[in-house]
Amino acid sequence: MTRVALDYLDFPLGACMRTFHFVLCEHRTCPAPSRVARRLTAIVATLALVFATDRVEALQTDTSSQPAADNEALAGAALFPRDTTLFVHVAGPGKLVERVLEHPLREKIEELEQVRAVLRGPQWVQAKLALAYLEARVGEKWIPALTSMTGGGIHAGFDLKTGSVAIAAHADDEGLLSKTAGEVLGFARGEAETNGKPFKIVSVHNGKIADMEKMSIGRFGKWLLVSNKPDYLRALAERLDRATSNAAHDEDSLAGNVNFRAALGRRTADSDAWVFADLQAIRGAGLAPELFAGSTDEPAAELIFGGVFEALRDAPFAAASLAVATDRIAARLEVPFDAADSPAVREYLLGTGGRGRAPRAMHIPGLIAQVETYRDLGGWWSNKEALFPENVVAGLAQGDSQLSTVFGGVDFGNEVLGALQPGMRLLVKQQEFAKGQSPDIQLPAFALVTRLQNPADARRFRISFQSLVGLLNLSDDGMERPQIEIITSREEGIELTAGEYWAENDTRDGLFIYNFSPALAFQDDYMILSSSRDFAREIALATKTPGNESADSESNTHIHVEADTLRRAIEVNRQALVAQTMIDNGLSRENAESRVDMALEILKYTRDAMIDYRVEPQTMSLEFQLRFAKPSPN
Amino acid sequence: MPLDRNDAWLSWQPSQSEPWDRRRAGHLVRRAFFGTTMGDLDRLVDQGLEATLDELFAGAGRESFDDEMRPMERVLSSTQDPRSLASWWLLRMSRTPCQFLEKMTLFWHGHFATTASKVIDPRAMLAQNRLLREHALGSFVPMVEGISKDVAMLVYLDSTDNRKTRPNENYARELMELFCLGPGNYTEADIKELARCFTGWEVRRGKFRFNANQHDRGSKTFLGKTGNFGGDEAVRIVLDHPASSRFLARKLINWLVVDDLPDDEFCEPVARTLRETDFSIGAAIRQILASRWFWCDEQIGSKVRGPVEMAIGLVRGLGVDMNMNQFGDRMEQLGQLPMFPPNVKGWEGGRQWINASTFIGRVNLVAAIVAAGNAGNGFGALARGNDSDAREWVSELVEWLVPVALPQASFDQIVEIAKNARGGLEERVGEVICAIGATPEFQLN
Repeated sequence: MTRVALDYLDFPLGACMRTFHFVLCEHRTCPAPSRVARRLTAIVATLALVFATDRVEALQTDTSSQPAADNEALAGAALFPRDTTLFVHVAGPGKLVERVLEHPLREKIEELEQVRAVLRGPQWVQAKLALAYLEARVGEKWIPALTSMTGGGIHAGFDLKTGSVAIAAHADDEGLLSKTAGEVLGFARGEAETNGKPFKIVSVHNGKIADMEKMSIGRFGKWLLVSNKPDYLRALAERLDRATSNAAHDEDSLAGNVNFRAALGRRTADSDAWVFADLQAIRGAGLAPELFAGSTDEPAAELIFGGVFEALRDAPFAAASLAVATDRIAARLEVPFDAADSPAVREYLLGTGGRGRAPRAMHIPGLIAQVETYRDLGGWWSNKEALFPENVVAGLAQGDSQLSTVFGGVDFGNEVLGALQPGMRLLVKQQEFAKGQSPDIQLPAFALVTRLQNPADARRFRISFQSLVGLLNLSDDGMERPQIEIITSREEGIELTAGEYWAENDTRDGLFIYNFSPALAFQDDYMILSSSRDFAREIALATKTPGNESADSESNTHIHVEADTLRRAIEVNRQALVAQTMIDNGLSRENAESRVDMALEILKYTRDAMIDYRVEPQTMSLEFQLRFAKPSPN
Repeated sequence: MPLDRNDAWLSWQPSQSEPWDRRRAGHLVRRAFFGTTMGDLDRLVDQGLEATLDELFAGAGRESFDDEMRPMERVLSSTQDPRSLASWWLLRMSRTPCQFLEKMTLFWHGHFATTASKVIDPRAMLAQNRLLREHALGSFVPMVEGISKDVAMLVYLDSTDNRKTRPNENYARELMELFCLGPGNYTEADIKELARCFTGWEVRRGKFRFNANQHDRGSKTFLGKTGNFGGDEAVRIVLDHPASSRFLARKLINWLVVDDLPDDEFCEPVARTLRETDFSIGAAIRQILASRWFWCDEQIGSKVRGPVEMAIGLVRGLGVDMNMNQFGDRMEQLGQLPMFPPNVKGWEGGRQWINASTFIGRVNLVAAIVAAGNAGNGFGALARGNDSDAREWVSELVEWLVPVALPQASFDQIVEIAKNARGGLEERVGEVICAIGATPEFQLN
């Protein structure tokens, strides 16, 4: 190996950085020139800074390039070893950056007090100037330069066994890549020499490699490779060499991995970034054993995530994709899963053959959030011996006994939970409060909507509900607790049993308990348990209205949160948020108010958020989508 | 020259040998305030002792600050989370313009110790806190009358039900032993009779209520008095006992001047002031703070700093914004979480504050405060333009933060840190503050 001179570098960037440092900073308040790692961090930070300062035109997601994106990912995967644990591909990073920069939310984020402080900081300005210098040296603005230098995508791989990580960027413009790499390496060399750290450049037959204390960087034609391990980088270079000379992908590379190819085949069309994870390797290494155990000791976790545990126990791989557009961000995580082969013990959650589907969404104006899910609570309870260890089962059995008492001596699992049809909805909506009964912290109303197997069971639930409210009245601990009167009404086919507070003359306004006026409503076979009488009635009425539901769901579980109603619910509690911000950050009221108001302002740019959990014949997937909105003038 | 015992309570005046300078202004700040910035310390020096004492009692800015905090109190009242009360109070201490009032409120909280872990209801704890602040520098009489009907206190002492057939002795005992007289000034019979005076005092629906049907209307005899006394009259009888003024004088002197208390006779001039002013706390404190004894050299740095006064003092001095929930966790580790005193006797204080574990905790806390400051505006300005002379700016920092001179070896080590620590001036000042915070002398008050 021979050390070669960097003859293309006629002015050390490290020296320039120190010059900027001197010019920018006041003599006594600025830190002294720091080490290589800090400088490199500053450059990375600068890239982010220019995200926030350079204006570019909006670009929509280019979905027509999808097949090219797959080929791009394969070309990158061909450099990495077949047993790579984690692989990431970012298609068109330059365009992705432009889309992020152009988003109207960016301006608002820049107005955040913490962001402004960073942007005013001397290190930030110094880093920006360093980037400007780099731009001047390579003769290109950084975004076009990034686009040219990563036109073939950025690829990253991680090997769990050796702790090796590498990033590979594929450029469109080899000359620009060469020039920029030279500038950066020149800077790194200057810093290394200044600090007495190792720095060595070696030539290999298809390129050059710079070995530094904790990093190796290599350039091979249009490829730039960076790794924390010199040997790993050299192995990548050799695979690149073979891939260049052979049209077919190396079978020993990740591109030849059957699981990788299967995962790539499921990649969504519009994804900007895509991740492949070898779950067999992760399981084999004993990482996060709870996640792959197939079960949990927590009954609530099983009820919510049992299907995920089921899939992760055996799935060979997982794939994730991310799509960023000006109007939304969408992410999808999926694992292969044979739904037809799902075990009977989890039919309560997945349905027979994985065909359990969530109930239809309800159309009720002003909802903050709605959750629909396929869950058979009776099945969950009756399978507890198969799902949980003995100590948990013992605890549940004890609970079964106590709850059976509340429900008049009947078997809680079979006759109470078993009386419900599979599938339930959870609805959330801001509520109005009666005069004199307005809590200082106003929670939204919640409602659980289920359907009874037999509407005749309504009476049992109603009596138990009355017993529970009565118990609340008896639990006087000497503190201020208004009594609840239970009122039952029947109108329009709806039977509504609800608690109303009896606020005596000396009962003060603002009590937290006023958030809850427990109610139980029945309409046909619908049973609605709510924290608010009015909300229970509204939902019961909605169940009677034809066409008041969406089409049949394809999801096992669907969550939808409406940003506008959420923001209004938060605004009602602005004082509480300000108080919490003051305590959490030690701020004055004025500063805390400013911070809260800015967060609320940013929420105006969000339209809604959705989570979709689906079980399909060969796949289990989780999708998340955040949609943006243009805020109204007020 | 040691102060003559007979001259201890004479009024102190600055002189050439005992000037009103940063050292003495810092002494007053550490005892009466939590802490000030370096600039504010110089302002106190410039304005002189009398003006500083006047400022102490004036409480300027209290009204607008209370307005700022009131909405937060209402929100806290609605939560069922007593732990957040501690965070709220720490925030209040760190931002109030009336430090002396707040610090005295903390003193009274330790005196009338009541813990939120038992009371639970934030409204009751906040109401007690307001009561203590209201009378912190006023008269002890309405404070004791108020605390006797205070919901949090009655809940804490299991005195929410006090029936004539079964008088609850808890409050009667603590009123005499811990709040007003001290042990040895009453008998078990006095407790039983005093408890009868409080029958019918109860808590219903979160409020104090006098239940006439449950009040014992018979004659009671205690502390040498006989009559059909009610609770209010009983409180007055306890306060009129000769031991009460001495007891209170000793408590105030203990808080403001010295951990190891002198004898009753020595404290008598302050007790006399209390008797002559119908228990004016402000008058007694002014007498203490103006005395030669308070200002004599041996008192400067003679006490051990409590965790709250140490931590809040540094937060205020450095102008740092902290997460008060995390700050509260650290206070708990150091043994002084406001709103959560360990028992009805409150915090023992003095040398009990420091042990191997809490000392490490204190050093870590100073580092955490400095780290929070580094993330904010930094500390470069504290070096006051003397980056070239580390010895000079370290000397200024030490004078500001520590009540007594550091041993030369410690000082030299810190100067070395100032010269050689990594980073720029701001980072080095932070390192120096951490190093000062790790000295035993910094733990003194």
